[in-house]
Amino acid sequence: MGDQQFFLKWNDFQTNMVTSFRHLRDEKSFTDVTLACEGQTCKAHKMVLSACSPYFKSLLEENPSKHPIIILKDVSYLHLQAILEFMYAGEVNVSQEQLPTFLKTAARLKVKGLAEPPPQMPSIKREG
Amino acid sequence: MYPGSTFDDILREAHWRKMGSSEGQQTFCLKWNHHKANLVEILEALIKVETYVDCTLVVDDQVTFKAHRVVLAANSPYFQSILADVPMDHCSILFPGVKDFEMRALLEYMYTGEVNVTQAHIPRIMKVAEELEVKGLFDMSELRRRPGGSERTPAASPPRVVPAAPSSVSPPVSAPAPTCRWPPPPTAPVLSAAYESPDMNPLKRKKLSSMLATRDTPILRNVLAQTSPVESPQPMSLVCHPVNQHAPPRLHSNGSAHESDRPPSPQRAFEYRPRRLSSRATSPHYNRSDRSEDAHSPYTERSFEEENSRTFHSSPPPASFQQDVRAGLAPYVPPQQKPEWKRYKQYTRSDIMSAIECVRNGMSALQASRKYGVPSRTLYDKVKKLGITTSRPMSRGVKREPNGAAFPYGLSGTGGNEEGTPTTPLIDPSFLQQALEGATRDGGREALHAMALAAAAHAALAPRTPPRSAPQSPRTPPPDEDHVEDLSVSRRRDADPPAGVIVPPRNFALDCSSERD
Repeated sequence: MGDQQFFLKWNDFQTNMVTSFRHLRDEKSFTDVTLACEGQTCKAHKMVLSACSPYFKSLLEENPSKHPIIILKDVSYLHLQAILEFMYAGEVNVSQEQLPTFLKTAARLKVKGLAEPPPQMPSIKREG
Repeated sequence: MYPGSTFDDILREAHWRKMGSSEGQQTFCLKWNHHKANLVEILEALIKVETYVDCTLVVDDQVTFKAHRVVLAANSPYFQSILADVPMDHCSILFPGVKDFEMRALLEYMYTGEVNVTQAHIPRIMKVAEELEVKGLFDMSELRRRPGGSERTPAASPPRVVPAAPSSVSPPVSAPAPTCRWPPPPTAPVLSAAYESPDMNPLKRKKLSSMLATRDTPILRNVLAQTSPVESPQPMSLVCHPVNQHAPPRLHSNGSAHESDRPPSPQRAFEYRPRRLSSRATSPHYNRSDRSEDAHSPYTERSFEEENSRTFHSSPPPASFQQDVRAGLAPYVPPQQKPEWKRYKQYTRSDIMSAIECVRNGMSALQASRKYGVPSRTLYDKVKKLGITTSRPMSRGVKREPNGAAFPYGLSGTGGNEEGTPTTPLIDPSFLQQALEGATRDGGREALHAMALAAAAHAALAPRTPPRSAPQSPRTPPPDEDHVEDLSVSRRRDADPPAGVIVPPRNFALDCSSERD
């Protein structure tokens, strides 16, 4: 009696999470990891990185630090940004000529959804 | 390593560097000559015991290195920007994909200014260095690629330069070790003596300090390049220093070599600044002029140390050298060329023996040293000890320059096409007189050279009279070249630091590179 449970569901939860994270990233709020390559840096959230890439997950687990700086070798800054964009938004535009190297980099960083083997191939849409 | 400044050092400094001499308020500059060296050594010691470290570098296989952020930042604009961004008590920097030996080498390099690595490791280390923009190691192409690259160059050096600037101004006697140890080319001291004006310093300082914030590295790069075969070793930067600062370019151009391959006027205007500020621009230029001159000009003589440095790498300059120079960029160690990481003693005993033999048979010390890859100064000293008469490179230079362009010393009224016939026995007023005559007659560079030289000679001799005249040459009367040479020798002696080291140790390398601008 009276133990009836209610199922509360926020329909826009995922959208909200995505936009919020994106927002946080844009604002650089609560960023707790710095990624650097080609002499440039960008900040991100460990949580997002870990969630989207086992590579980053293990890297960050192995090196617990308040704000680690990860210096990536052989990664182009352009690709890094695209990968982050992909991680945060779930989608990104990459030019065709960049695509092979981009995917290679993503594979190296084991980005879920982009790396081999892909759980499900991300749909590559042609734009523009 | 450095016994520290003696009280005497300080006093001398103070004496010479009196500033603001207007009545009443006299300020003194107290300078510890070994300050920089000391600082560097302390850092090195601290890292060994991991004291005050404030960041952890993690490379592959979970190998960790502790380091001081300040050192990382000082050695790499990249680190500087990253670390500025991340103010934390202790930060970790992860380097996935970097091997421990690479990081170890880089750290050692950053802390000591040098590192021994196996050749096989060099490409990898250089690659990492490039990514991390380790000063002195990362590729110049990086700079070229960036739009701001050219501006960055001058910016780079300033921090190091600031303290150094004044030292070059001080009179030869009291000049601090790093600057002086370097046998400055005859022209250099001359010019600095003749042209130095106190007002230069403030300007310099201002410029330099304004650049503190900017990134770059040419100097160290040069230092590296110097240790590498491609370009002039350590000493070069030191040698260059005074010249860069004080010598207007025209003074040591013979009107031939570098004049022609430099774009004439536009660069002219700026010449002074870029050369002073950018080691990249200066040192290569300097090297190049050396190179071009050493075939035919008396300046060949000017520094044994330079010679030294050159002989360390017998390989010819890369083809791109001139372009590099023009671009104001230091030649980067081409990967295919095997970098020479060690500066000391690159020759074997048999080399020196053969060289001595050659000298005995009439070859000039310079030629012999070049032929056998023996530092010419070493050879020179040995030969001197053995009492062998050397045929002077000097006379050779004169010979090769029949058109009188080699006249700069003002030794011969005929323009020097007769193998340096002795006309002036010693540097004395008559020398000056000749120089002046030269000035009126040639009305140009040669005269300036001559005057500068004369001034230098005086400067060199002043502290210690009488001038030693050709102790190493039994020839009597000594030909003029000998005097010139002796001058440079005695000067060098003055300059030699108490330590008596010829090739500057790494700390000095750093010092001096910094002093160049």
